[in-house]
Amino acid sequence: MSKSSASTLAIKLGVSSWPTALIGIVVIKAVLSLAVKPGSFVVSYSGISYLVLLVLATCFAMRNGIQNTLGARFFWVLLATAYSLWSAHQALNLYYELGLRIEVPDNSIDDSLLFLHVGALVAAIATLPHRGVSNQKQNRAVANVLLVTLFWIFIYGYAVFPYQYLISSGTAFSYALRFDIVYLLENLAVIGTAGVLAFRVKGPWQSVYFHLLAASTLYALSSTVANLEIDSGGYVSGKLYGVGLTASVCWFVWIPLCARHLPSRQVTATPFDSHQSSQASMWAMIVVVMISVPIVWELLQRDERSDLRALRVVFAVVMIVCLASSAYIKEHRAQREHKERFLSVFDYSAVGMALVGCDGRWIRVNRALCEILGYSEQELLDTNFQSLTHPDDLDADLSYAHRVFTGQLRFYHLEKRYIHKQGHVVWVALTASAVPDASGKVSYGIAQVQDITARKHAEAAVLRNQEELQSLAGRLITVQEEERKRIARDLHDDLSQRLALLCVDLDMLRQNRPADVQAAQELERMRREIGELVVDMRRLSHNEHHPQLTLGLQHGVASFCNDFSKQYGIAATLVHEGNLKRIPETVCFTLFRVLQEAMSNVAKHSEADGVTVTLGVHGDQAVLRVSDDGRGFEIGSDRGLGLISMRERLRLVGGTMRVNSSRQQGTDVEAAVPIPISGGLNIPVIGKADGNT
Amino acid sequence: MKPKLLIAENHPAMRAKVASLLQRDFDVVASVAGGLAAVEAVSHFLPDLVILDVSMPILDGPDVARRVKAHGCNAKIVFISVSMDLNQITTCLAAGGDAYVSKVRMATDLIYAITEVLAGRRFISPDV
Repeated sequence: MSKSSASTLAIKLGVSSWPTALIGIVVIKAVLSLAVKPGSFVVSYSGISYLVLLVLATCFAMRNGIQNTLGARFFWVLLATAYSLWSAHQALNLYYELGLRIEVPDNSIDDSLLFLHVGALVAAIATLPHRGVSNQKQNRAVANVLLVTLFWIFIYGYAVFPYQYLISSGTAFSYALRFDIVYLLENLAVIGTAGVLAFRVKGPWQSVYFHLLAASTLYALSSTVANLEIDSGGYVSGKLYGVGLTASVCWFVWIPLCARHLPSRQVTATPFDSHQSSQASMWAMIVVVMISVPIVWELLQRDERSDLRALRVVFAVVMIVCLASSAYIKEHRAQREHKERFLSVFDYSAVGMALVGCDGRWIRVNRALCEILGYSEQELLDTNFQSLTHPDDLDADLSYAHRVFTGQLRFYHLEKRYIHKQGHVVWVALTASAVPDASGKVSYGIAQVQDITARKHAEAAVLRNQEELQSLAGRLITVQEEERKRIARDLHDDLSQRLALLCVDLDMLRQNRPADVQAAQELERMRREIGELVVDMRRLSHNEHHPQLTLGLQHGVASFCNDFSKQYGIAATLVHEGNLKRIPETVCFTLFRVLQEAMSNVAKHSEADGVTVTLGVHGDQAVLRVSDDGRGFEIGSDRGLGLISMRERLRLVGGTMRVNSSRQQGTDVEAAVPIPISGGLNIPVIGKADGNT
Repeated sequence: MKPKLLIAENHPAMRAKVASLLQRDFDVVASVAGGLAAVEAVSHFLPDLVILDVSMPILDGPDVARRVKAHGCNAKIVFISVSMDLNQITTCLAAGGDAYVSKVRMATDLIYAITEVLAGRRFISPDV
């Protein structure tokens, strides 16, 4: 067998040997109880195993506490306390039974220890370890434990203590019976608490709590039977309920062991819940009231010993004072913590925050706001928001603020400017909301202010870049047009002139030599050819630069449509809308090129009889629409129609193009280019309002 | 006495051709290369008729016509151009032109146009 498999076996043994051992102990105990005669000396040594188990349980719980198992040190410390009290009780018992060989005397402290250990168990269960106790909340947990412990001490001191030490046994309601009843009650409280919380806790704690519930139920049953047996004088170690007791103790040993094997990553700290704490203090108050009931009863009942009554009343009053004050302290602390937490949210928030009165005066400001505006807290409190707001943004802010303070608006969001103490402008995103009092009247508002200066500067830079790009694109278009104009001029000014000259020469030649018929015919052909060449040249030149475009887009388009109709026999109608003079020159060039491209498509592909060219200015847009009544095409099969080049041209000036066409339905090309709006720009304030309340 | 003509045409070869076409029948007092020179020459020579190229740099044909008319000159004006664009013809006639001759058809049309204009009529070359 290899070394690794041996170690695997060892680990398996290590993990599973404890439950086996514990079950073995229970089985041995059961066999002994059945096989060996009750009362035997051997069986009384089972008390020793009982003690050993309890000491083991204490050690395991302490180890869990030291190693902070499942992140709940406090829980394990309390559990270890409970186990150690229990061990102490058992040790005392054994001392009397085996050492002194006498019955445990009534006035021994061991019953008090037994009683106290269950109190500690309740306290442990009530710590709600699944909530992840942080250092800050440790105080709260300690207060809870104190409350629970004090309560049980009170019950014990009130109902049992006097009979244990002051009144000798033999009375109707003896010490032993009273102890049994109270002890049963205490155990029921453990079962109840564990039972309720087992369904509330989450993750690995659920299994821990179910183990606790089962173990304590078994223990409560067995111990009650055992106690009754002892009181009737019949208890001897080794009876069957002893098996139950041993089994429950084994189970208690198993709890700290099994918790070590649970996945701790499932334990997550849930946020603190102030609702719970106020509920806890409510319970504390109820307990206080409940305690006063027996006091009144005690005062009214006259048939008991006066010293006993006095003792009880004093005890009860002291307890009430302790409970009430600890409950009060707990509640007060919770409230203060709550308030401090809110104020620290206000003070330490990275967002500037302020309470603002109806008159705009700052009532309270936080550090972030002081930093944003550059003023100290006192300087801000001496002024109001109006005096620090940029004058251009004041009207918008005031009108919104008025609506908030009169209850017409619940909140508003505004991007506005403040003037920093050093004089520069601070851009902020402001969210202001109303704070109504109980009667619904708004006496002040909360302003949340976020510094967005950097964002605004970045936006402005982007805008500047865009403008620069736009002007670059514009320059590109102009340069391109200049170049085309030059080519057009060359074509027109020189080449077409020279061709025209050739025409003149040929004409003259024809006039001079009319006799030679064949030569005349040849001349005639050449003359016609050159005439056509001149016309083509002119068209080419116009395509490069339409001379009428210099007179304005409208003239250029009109002349173009005229030429188009003549050249292709397709009737072109021009419609213009709006003030076309507002279209900038670069946009004119672009739209004219788009028109040329679109019309060339009409001529080449549409087989249309007529085409309508609409040129218009609507608001901040120049729109060119070319609609023909031709055969159309299917969108998607439009490659090679020059649409891409049109789109690219338009993109340079920020324009867009839409093409609508379907078979036999004609084609509709619409180009839209944004142009500067006449008149001033709007102020850069965005106001947004939520609905009325 | 032959009528006095002035030629304004910026293309040198074309200018020479026009002059050579008209020299036999008319008294060509000057042939200039630009619009500004044309305006100056008109006020200096006071010709009976001006042959104006439509497209010239700085001052084009219609501009020259408008200036000349504005100075109160009564000289007749004949435009010559390669282009037979309707808009352009309209502009030229509106600027004070009396005839519009296609440069391609000068051999046949120009002298006829001048005679017609001098006789108080108008002339426009037929489109090619």
